[in-house]
Amino acid sequence: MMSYVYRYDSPFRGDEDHYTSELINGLMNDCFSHLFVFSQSNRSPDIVISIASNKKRQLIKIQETSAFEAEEERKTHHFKEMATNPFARPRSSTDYRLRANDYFNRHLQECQDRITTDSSENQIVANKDIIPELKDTYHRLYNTQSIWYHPTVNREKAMEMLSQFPKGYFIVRKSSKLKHPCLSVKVSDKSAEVNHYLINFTDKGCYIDGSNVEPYPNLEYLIAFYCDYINAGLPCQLQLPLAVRKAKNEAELATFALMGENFWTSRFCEAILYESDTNSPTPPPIPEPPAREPPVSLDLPPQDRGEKSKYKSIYLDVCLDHCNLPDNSVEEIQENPLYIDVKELSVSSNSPKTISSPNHEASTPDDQKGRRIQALQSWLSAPKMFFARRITANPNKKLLIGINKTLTDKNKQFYVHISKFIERYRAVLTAPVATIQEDPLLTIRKFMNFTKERFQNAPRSEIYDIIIFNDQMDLDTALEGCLHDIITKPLKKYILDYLERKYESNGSLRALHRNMNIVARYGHDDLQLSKSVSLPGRKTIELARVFFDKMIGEYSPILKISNLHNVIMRMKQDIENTPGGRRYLSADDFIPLLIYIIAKLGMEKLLLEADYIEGLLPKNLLENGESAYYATAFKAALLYLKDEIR
Amino acid sequence: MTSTSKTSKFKVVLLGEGCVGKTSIVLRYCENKFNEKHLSTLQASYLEKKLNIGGKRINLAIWDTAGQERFHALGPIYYRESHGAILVYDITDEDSFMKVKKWVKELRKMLGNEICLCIVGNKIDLEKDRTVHVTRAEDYAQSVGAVHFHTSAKMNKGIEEVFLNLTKRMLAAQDDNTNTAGKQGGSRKSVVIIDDEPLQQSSGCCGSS
Repeated sequence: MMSYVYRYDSPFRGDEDHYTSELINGLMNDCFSHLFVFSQSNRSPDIVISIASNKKRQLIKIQETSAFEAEEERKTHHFKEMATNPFARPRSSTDYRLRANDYFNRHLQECQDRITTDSSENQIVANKDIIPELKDTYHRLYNTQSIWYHPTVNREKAMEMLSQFPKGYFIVRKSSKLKHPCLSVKVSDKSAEVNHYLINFTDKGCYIDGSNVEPYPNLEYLIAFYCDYINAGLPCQLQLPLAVRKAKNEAELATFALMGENFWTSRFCEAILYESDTNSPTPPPIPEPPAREPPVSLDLPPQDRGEKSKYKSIYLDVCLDHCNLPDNSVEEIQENPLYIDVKELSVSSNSPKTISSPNHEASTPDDQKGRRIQALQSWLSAPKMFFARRITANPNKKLLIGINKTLTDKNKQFYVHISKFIERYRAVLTAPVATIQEDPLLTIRKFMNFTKERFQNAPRSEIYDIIIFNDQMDLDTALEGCLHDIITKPLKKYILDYLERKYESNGSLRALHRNMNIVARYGHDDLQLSKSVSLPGRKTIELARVFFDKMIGEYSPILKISNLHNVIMRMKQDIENTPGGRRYLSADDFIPLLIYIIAKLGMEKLLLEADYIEGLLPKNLLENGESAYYATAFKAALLYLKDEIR
Repeated sequence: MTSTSKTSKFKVVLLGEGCVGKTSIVLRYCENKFNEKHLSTLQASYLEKKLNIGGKRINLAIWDTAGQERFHALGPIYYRESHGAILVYDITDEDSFMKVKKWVKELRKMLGNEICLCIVGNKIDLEKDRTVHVTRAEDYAQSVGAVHFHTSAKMNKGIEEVFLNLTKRMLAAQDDNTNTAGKQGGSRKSVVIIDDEPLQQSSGCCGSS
């Protein structure tokens, strides 16, 4: 058995209620032993921390500092940590987060201790990341590590890098002698003076050597503190580059982060504009890897700085800046500047984030990868009838690759969670039916929803930076497809096996078989069909068999239902082609016809398929639109055959 | 909770005995009067209709059900999560009215007052053969919190009104829901800790899970 301690940071205000009802109660059932949800209250500037434990099925909510303080004493014996106390008089939202984070880390430690002492098999996977709103310095820092964190830069180089910038500009590097991180700060506007501060790491966190500030849990928090406070102890307040400070959203930050060191010499960093004697960037002072080409389109005049138009072209520029693309791919990117092919990036870029780990899956040959992508693409384009509104005509291949890469990268959290989940559910699904209490399909679906949500709110370091999308719907659809590829596919066999055993043991399959034989002999009147509707012919039934066989072969519930759709379309065509037939298939005829066709085919396994679809179809398709109706009709037909024939 | 900027999606289930004309009603309602060709996009038994009421965008998903008595037991999987139901009977067929009563009873039992109901007496073109009396049907509708309508799918009479009335009531019900939810949210603001258990204990249990 595994235990997960999970931490989820909601980027949205007022999400506490949402998580209270949806996420926690649902997920605590199986996936995690503890869940911490941090969200900012929409009623106050404070953070709400919801802590849930599946053992007790309880929810602890800490909310609104002022009220909390009033309650504090009374609850001291319950929350020792808080009394000592990480939440005392928070000054600002950032500060509060720091404390919240501290609190989380302490509790995590505690949980971890307990679990590891209880059983060595237990494992904790904690997501220590936090995603505050973008206005937070922390968030900006978090997303732009590659700009300010340069472990390979030495003292001389740091001084050179910072020399042209205003005071407060900084980088974190590694001290060459002590192997410690070191903060290099430009401390004067007039001279090139750069000070260097050693950063110490202890069990409690990190702090600047010689300062009397409490340790912060990680480097970002520490830097954020010195960015946000004027008299924090350094000669000047730390400053993020203007472009990073002014970035409006994560995509912009990601764009900058993609540039890494080169950011400092790009036109987006105001140093060059500050000097204002060059229109094009100075050659980078840092020796560039030979593979890189000089930035391509950097002809914008400096006065464009700060204008919106500037950002529009950023994506393209960065893509070109950063990777060494063949000429023809430039055109492709220009057509769709928001996306860039991961494959190309990982080949030509030397960013460590895009280098895949040397494992078996990652080292599959390119053509195999291509097939996989093709399969994904076909997933997106296949159910055209259903999803025309949802899916763009040209499925975004790059987005799919990016998601797929992120989810299967063994160095990333997602992979760990997913593989553990799959492993666990293989075991759950093979257990005797009587011992399985909760519907495993429900839990699998919930896990997928949760993974989706986590992915969409994941910090940049967790997902491939190249995943920049402009439509939430696109991302959701692509994610859904990838998740079925990664989660449903390996579990399909086990799910169907479980369902079969379940229906075998309660006699449903036998009843179904018997009833199918009865209904297969029904005539027009037995089925109570309208006069204008005739019984389906052999051809229709055989076509239905082909589609249902295909349905059984699919692992994605979406593809399964699209095969059902094909059957229904054929039925409808039959009605239309009957002389004097109607243009529309009334439910009075549709349901008996569907029942008849299924009975004629004698495919008892369709009962398992109906459950599979119902259990794993995403909520939007299960509750809205045609897919919802047909999934229901399919289920209804099988339930009728199973239970209602006497 | 601004429903003006978002499309409200409502699920409406059509119930009634076979041959009372529920399919004809919904077809009349959804078909494009000016373009016959549009009919070819119609699917089987399921229809969607987009509406705009007072600037609010609404998408009705209309679920047709099989009316034969033998399929009665399948009702629940069709009407679950429905916002509204249209119960159709044939004014010349007393049995079909009894069937409506049966559905109403079941819907109220299963879904409570959450669901908005319309009872529709169809085939008023056959007024001379009427067996279900107007006042009786209307009184009954009132007694169960439903609104009664008379329609003729054949003559395309009274159909728009049914859906318009139902949609308006579903919208009102939705607004009510969001309002009460909002109020609850407001009154909850001083909630601090929803828990009686010491955290230490709870965190100790994760090892054994």
